[in-house]
Amino acid sequence: MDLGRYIFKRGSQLLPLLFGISILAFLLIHLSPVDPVEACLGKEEASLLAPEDLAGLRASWGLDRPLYGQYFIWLAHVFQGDFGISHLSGRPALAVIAERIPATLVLMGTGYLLVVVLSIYLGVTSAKRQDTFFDHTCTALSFIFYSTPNFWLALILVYLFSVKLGLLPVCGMASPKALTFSLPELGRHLILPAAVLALSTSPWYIRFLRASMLEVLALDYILLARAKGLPEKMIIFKHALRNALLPFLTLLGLAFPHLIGGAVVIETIFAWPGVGRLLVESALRADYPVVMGLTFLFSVFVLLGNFLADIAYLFVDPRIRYGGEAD
Amino acid sequence: MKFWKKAFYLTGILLVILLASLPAGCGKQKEAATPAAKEKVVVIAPKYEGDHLNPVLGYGRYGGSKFFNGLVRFDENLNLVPDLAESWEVSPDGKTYTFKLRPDVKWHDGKEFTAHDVKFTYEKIRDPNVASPLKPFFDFVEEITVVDDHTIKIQLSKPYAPFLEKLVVGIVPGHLLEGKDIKTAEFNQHPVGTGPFKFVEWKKGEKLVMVANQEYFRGKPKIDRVVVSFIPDENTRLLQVTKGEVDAAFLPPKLAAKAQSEKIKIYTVPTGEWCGLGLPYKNPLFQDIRLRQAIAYAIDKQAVVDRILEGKGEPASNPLRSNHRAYNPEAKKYPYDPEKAKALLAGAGWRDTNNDGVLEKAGKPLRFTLLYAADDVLRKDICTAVKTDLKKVGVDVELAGLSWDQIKPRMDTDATLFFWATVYDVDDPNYQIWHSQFIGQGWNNPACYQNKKVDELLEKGRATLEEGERKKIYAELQQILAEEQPVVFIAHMDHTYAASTRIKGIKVQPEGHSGYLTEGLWWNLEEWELPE
Amino acid sequence: MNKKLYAGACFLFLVVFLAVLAPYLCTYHPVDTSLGDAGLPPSREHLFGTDDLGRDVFSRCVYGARVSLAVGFAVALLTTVIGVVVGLVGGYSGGLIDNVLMRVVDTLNSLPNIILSIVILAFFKPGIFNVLAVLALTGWTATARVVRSETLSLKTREFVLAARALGAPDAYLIFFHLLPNVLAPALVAATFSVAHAILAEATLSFLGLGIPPHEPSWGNIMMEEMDDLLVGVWWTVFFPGVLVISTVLAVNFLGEGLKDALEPGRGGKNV
Repeated sequence: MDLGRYIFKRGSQLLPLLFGISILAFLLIHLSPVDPVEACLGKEEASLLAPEDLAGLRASWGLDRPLYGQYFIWLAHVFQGDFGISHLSGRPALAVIAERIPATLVLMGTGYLLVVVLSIYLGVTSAKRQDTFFDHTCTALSFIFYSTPNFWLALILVYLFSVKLGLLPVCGMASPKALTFSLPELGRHLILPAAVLALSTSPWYIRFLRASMLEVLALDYILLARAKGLPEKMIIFKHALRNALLPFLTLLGLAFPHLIGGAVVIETIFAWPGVGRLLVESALRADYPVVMGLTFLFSVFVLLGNFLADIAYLFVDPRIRYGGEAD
Repeated sequence: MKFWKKAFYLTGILLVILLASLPAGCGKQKEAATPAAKEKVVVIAPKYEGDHLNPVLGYGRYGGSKFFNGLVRFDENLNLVPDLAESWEVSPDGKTYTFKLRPDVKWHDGKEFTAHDVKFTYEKIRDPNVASPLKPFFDFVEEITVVDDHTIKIQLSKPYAPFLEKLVVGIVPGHLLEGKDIKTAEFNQHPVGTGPFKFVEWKKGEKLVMVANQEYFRGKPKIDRVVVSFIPDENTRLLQVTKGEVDAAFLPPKLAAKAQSEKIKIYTVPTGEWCGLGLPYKNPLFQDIRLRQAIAYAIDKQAVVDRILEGKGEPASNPLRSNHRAYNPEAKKYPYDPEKAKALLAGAGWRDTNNDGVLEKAGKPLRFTLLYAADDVLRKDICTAVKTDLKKVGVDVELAGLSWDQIKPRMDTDATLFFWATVYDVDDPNYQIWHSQFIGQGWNNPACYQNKKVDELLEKGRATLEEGERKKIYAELQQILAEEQPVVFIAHMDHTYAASTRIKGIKVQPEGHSGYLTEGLWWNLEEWELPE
Repeated sequence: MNKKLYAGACFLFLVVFLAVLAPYLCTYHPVDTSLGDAGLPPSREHLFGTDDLGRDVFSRCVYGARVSLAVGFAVALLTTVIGVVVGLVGGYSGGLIDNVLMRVVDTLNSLPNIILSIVILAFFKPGIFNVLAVLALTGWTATARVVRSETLSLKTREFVLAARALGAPDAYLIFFHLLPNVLAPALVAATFSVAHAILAEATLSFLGLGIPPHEPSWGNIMMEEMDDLLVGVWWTVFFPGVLVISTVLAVNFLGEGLKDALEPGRGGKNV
């Protein structure tokens, strides 16, 4: 199968999924007992309005139409890049979301890099030194961190490094006193949240890479390479790692949901001004358009991750290109 | 180790790209955001961020909006003093208000402020399409006439005593909003007003920056720049204050006590806010006044104030606090007296017949569910204390921490913990809470209280103009409410703020229950000083 | 490798034991306040100290174990039932039904579980049953996938083909040939979903979207008391957290052990 068609085919498979997600999100929100008018104005302010004013407000938000009518109106707008107006701020939901994206990208990007570096380093090293003290410690720690709630880890690290030792800032992306942007300032604020994100996401990948390295290292061609007397580093990095990385690449594409889930909690704890915190805040205050937009954004992101993993796989493993469909 | 070198460089490059994308994304106002050298900067951290900055939509409804001015404003003691209006006249029948406006006021964009802006603002508030939360305050307005550029006349359909204080709401510039949809206008995020501070930028979820308005008509503020830092978590706010990252912050009493030091001073701001148990009359159990009074006696209100509010407040027996100008000290009080509570319950026929510690009448145990908003730790703490206290007199309370949406359909039959505040005119919000015409209308009169005399007093109160006469009316109202306990009042609360001792000129003004940038400690931000 | 299984099972048994015997083990009430004893550090009377309302943290943790474990097991049961049914039906019938079911699985999988749970709970409101429902709704896809692929491979095995050739009805095939054979992987998946559910409950309660605070669960104990951590009261957050970690760790060990024991052929990739 030729490359372009393959990519096109994988890509077009994403559309029905997006459609499914939009229906899911829409149904969830509109089956809920929350009254968006009250949720947005606050109970006391809504109570001060006359019933006919409330009805007018409802109509202006399209809440008086039947459910399917609301859905198709919403969908038509989404295709034009319009996710509606945030009930809370009266601004386009897309604008509300867009201004929060860079912060999340910085956090997730850094976290992601740390995950990759940590898991490759620790996974390879503990496979190389199987059954040594290093390997056992690494395994034990991976198990423990895998079972640790990320918010707890965040709280404990803040307690240790910010409260007790006073080394790192408590929250935010920059000190409120810093009036201009500075890279070191951002870096200092990034350390704790990115570390929590990486520590709670990477154990799984470390375990995975270690297992597939062990599998590869037991293969005949590695034995042959060893027999030929090639240097160990070359065997590990050139021959073994390359093959072990294949399944790992796919997995890294699948890491996006973990990272997003982690970002939601971590941004909330560290008062990080990103989309994760925005989701919690707008969900709690029933700002439908923003929640819908975010839900959509996150799933696009996840699907994109899967798609990229597929494509990356294709480039690394040429067998798929000629072997027809990979599923 | 070539692989690791490569990986290292790659990581570095990607990091730099990521970081570089950040300022590019939010560097629109770089020019204005760059501070001049030696500026006096204050960083404050209020409780909420807020969603917009437009007074017509409810921003700064009790004044203090920083970017805007109303026709009048509250002073330190909540007296109304001139702001944009130089002087005003009220006709003897209380239906015509004529305001003489200051001629020397300019908008932040340099245009002149006139009576047309005032008319524009009030018309927008009255416009049903705007659905302004302030609309009910302007329902009695019949006509607004611009007499000349600096004189405006407002005609009411009937006398409405609290009207003047509603005019603290900020006036918005007509020339920037004319013909735009005010609900979605970009203006709501980038306000242009007449106020002491000019808007610079608002990074959502992070901070809002404003600078002193050099041409402010009451003299330019003494600090040059204010950064409003948004930190939703109270403990984090406390840490930021103790670390000196934030100069002043809203903190709950418990945390404020921990912030106190040589460098940090605690300010206690009295509020008109009270908390109480709504015991709805629709529930037959609560119709007996003896039960209501017994509950009022059985709650150790002083302990709630001392332990849960850390002493920042006072026990309550009626909706007005002792610092309110209309407060009636004669109204009945309910000091902690579990014996009296037991006697009242026994008098109402409740006995513990099966010795399980819970009273019964006609075989039915004295048991009810108390609902509270689960998202607020303070409410949960108060309810837990109430439960423990009532257990001691044989009343079994089941707690249910729910969301307001779950509470709403149940609050006219189940007991509910409410917070309300009376800080300005007594009419607001007591008219809505106690008048029987609001029964069944959601949040208004949630206890379904019905008393002809109370309705009469409330109506008379808002229609009477003479201050002494009104005070008498509301004194009688308090007497009835204290006697009947339509809501079992528990405590009046204070708000606490921590501020750096470097800051001078902070004055305390009683506040409602907002905790937002416009009220509380922040009300006179323009008068704060930072001596060298 | 069954050390893992025993270690996990023993610890889990201990926690279940604590939870069941909570009223006999705790000398303090988990919810009633005692304002005079607020904020005491760990001591002999209060093993884990007291919180800001004077409640004994140990008692709260023990009672909390009831809620947290109940949520874990109930969610595992629900996800397994849903997952097995969907996996069997999809894998066995194939075609359109399979396709639709798998698209539903894909749809749910393309949203991080926590995000979906937050959105649902924010609109349908926290509470123990909603938490259960949400965790079950978002958690069954993994089981369904495992069961489906197992079913697909079983379908072509000789004993199934033979039974079918003999004219056995579909229901008989599903119940007596396929179901018993997918139970082992389903059990392993169920064990891991206990761990997931305990963590998820803690996280949701922590965000204020889980179990309401007057019913202590490990998550909401931490949520209520995280306030105090930043001002130096560490015990109210530390101990429930350690309980969560060790319980989840035990359940994960149990799952790994089961996997090794029940699927020796597949145990090679020890992830």
